[in-house]
Amino acid sequence: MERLEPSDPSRIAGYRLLGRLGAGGMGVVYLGRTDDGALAAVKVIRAEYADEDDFRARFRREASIAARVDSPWAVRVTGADPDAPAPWLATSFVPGPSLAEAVAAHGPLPPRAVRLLGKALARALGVMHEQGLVHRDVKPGNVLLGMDGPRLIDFGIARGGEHTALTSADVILGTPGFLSPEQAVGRAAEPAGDVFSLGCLLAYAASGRLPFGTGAVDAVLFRTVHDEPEFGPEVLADPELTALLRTCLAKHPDIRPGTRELEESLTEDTPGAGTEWLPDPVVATIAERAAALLALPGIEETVADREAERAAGAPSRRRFLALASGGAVLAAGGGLAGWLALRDDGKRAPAAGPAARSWVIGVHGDLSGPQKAAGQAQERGVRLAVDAFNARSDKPFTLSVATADDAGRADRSAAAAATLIGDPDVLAVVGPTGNASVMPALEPYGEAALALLTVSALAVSFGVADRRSFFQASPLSLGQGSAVNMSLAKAQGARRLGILCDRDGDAEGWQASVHLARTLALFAADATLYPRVVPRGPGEADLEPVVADLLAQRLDGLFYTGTPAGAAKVAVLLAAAGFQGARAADFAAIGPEFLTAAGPAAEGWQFLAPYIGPEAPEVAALARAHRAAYGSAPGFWTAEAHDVANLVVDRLVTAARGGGRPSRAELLAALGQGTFRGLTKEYAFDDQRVVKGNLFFLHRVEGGRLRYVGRAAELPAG
Amino acid sequence: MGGPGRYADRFALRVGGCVAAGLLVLAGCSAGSGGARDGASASPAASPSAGSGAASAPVPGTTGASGVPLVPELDEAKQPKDAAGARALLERISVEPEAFGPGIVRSSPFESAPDRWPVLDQGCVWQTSGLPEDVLATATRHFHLPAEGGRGRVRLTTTVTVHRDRTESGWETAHAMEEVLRCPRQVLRDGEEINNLLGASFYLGEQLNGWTEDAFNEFGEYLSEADGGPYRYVWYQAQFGPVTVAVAGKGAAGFTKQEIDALAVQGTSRLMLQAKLALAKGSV
Repeated sequence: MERLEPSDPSRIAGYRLLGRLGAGGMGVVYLGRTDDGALAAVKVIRAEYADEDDFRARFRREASIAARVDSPWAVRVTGADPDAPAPWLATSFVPGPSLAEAVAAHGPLPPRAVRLLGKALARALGVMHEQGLVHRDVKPGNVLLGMDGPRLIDFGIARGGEHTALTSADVILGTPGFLSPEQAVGRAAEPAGDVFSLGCLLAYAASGRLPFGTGAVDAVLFRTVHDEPEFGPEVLADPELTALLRTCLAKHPDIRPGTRELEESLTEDTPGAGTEWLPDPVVATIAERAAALLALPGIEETVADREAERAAGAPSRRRFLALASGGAVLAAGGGLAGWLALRDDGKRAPAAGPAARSWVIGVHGDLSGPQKAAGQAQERGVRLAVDAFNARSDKPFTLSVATADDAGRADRSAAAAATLIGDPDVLAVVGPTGNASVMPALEPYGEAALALLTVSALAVSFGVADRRSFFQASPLSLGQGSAVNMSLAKAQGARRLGILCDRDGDAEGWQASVHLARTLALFAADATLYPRVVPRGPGEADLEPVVADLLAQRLDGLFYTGTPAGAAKVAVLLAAAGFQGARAADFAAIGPEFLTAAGPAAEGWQFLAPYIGPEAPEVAALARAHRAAYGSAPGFWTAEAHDVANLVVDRLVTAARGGGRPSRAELLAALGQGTFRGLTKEYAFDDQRVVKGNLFFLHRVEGGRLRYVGRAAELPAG
Repeated sequence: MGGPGRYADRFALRVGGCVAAGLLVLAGCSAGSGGARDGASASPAASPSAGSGAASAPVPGTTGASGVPLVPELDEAKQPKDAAGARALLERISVEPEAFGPGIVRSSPFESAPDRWPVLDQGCVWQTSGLPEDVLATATRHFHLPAEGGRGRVRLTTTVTVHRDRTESGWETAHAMEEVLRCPRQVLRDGEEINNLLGASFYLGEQLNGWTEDAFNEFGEYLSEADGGPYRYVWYQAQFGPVTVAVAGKGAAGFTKQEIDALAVQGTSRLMLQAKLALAKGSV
């Protein structure tokens, strides 16, 4: 499955869209979810096809056919709108492979599964035939294998386009090979044609072979009309099945059994509860696909930004976007700078209008959990930016801050998001703090078109999800790998670098290690690398032999990624051995816990972080404001959150000048465009909404404290 | 080597591309690099004897959407204690061509020598040596999809390695990860190499991994003097207790990355299932 594209809708009728299952010339099939959590495949036909002659009539007729097929073994139609500008049809989603995929991947089904498959499909076709309907395209690609039984799909709707299966593995098989002789010579489809196709399908399921072979279409069709079917040994080993399939594949339709007769001939229990009807590898495939769905966003109900929906497409949007993207108005920091210029001229910026609503920036953070120091520091950075803005006497509007605490817990993140989304005055949100909070929050923010800008959740991937509202305003944490090279190898001259990747940390540490390994030569072509990886285990004792091995390599530099306790253990071991080389650790492993556990051994350790030091000259004024407001120096991440809040302010001011309060969606669009000069760096986003550049800041332990050294340059182009 | 510049070119794409990692590759997207093994399995095992006692057990109770537990509880009593027991276990886990689907056939020779172990030397060239102390038995089988209809021959190998316990499996993967870091370009044999390797590893519960204790994959470009290239190279590895299973896939003309990955994922799924059936509590 692929993520939604910017042009995709968030919702179609009652279906919230989660991702794309497939796309083709005629339209797109989305994975959707109803408000009560049911998954659906939502097929949307492109408007230009819908405008073709008789298309809508055909679509309407076939949607109604599908809706009439009430069988547990046919996929259920849960909604359709043939009259929408882009007609759509939704069916319940079966997270299993098609029969075609299953046989291609795992070989033929065992005899019992074949009979159960035949029995279920005969029933589904029987329901159709009783109503005078003909499926006309019974083939392995149109049968999905669910845990509890098969499902017949695609009732001829939008034939020629893609169907609602996850993927199509039946390109080789195609429909010829399943077509009845009468259909092959161009006669109208009758129910007996479906029975013929089902016979071909069952022979294929049992043996992986088609009774009339494969190859050129005309050759297959010729054999279908003129030759006797040939069955694989698996079929022939079962005389009863062989005889039954021969009657299904009779050339003359009248000789073939009806669906009821066929069903009664297949002597097996109908599949029901449990998964025992399929071979284990197929079950494993289904289980894995089902498991992958766990990575999809949660079902947390959210409140749509109705104002944003109304505003979408309105003239004010175009005007606003033109302002936001225009070079003249929006040079770096255009909005705020422009407004300040107006103020200096003694002119008034336009007011927000009558019945002015509150203008609110949200903070979604870990304010009480393991990363509360970072979360609280970010909240303060946002508040300081808002306070500074509100202190202007001629501000075009007054800002306020709303917070939502998820305690750093994934299971509380969606609720925190809902709180902020539910406040219609919230225009953008700074957060969340940690990686764990990201996934559950993406879908609600995405659906609400409410921008979510994180400065500290910097993992490389958050799985398959709606990322359309999500900005990462600091470089991804893996980028520290090249920053380490720049500092240790290029600036400090290390030529024999070691990596110790301790898998007690998260997977991002490994990503940083790879990034380091792949970019070392950019900074020091003659440098060598000695990498070690330690699997996850209890305690830190397993680090000792590995550190001993690293020490034996006569290294002059070492990078550790893992946990604070592991970093401290390594620091103590290196200090005891008198190691004199450069020592750097993943910034995520450095903090009070490391300093306490390592004690004097922490001295001289360095780290490259996405955050600037609070004592850096660039943020001196902010530090003074922080002291005045909170009585202490700011912590890490305050400056970055302050920058991002000012970025939001800048875009809001631009909007206010261009016509008033923007909708969430308008602000979201504007945030991704242009540039903004903050205190710590310039902000511009790539098409994944990750801040451009790979700017890291060097810090070092001196005198038992973390000291800011300075900024590393950006990753040179390859 | 492919060069750091080449990597830097790909970096931005990789970061973005990961986001769209499909359902297929449950091990998740990756920006890592990969040590490649020419069908033979994992990395040279250094001496893990000084490692921690027992590796931590995986997060239990992870279930699929259907409620089916995807990683069952390991029955430690079923872990083999000697080479003979390990070889019997290999027999239960190893697969035939049908595991990959129709069309896949045995290659000749079908099985690698059981007493050899692949070692990536200092020059990033694969050699073999005797089995390391922490490997009880290993088996590598060779398969291919014959060239047909203008498409080339796709090569597939399965490797199953049996250790004494989960800790030793963890070290095998750790060493494979080290090779990824050390050698972005690896010579499989004269005239065959893999380039620009990237890779990733995720424990159960990390990223999208809900199906194995430790998912490790590598991917890059396969180059052959005989067959050309670059084509897709993948290595998909999974772990259940003392057993690691892996499929290596080498692409060919006319095949997409997705097709090669699908074959490797299917093979690994099948091997993993066999390992779970053999070693899970309650299994026979």
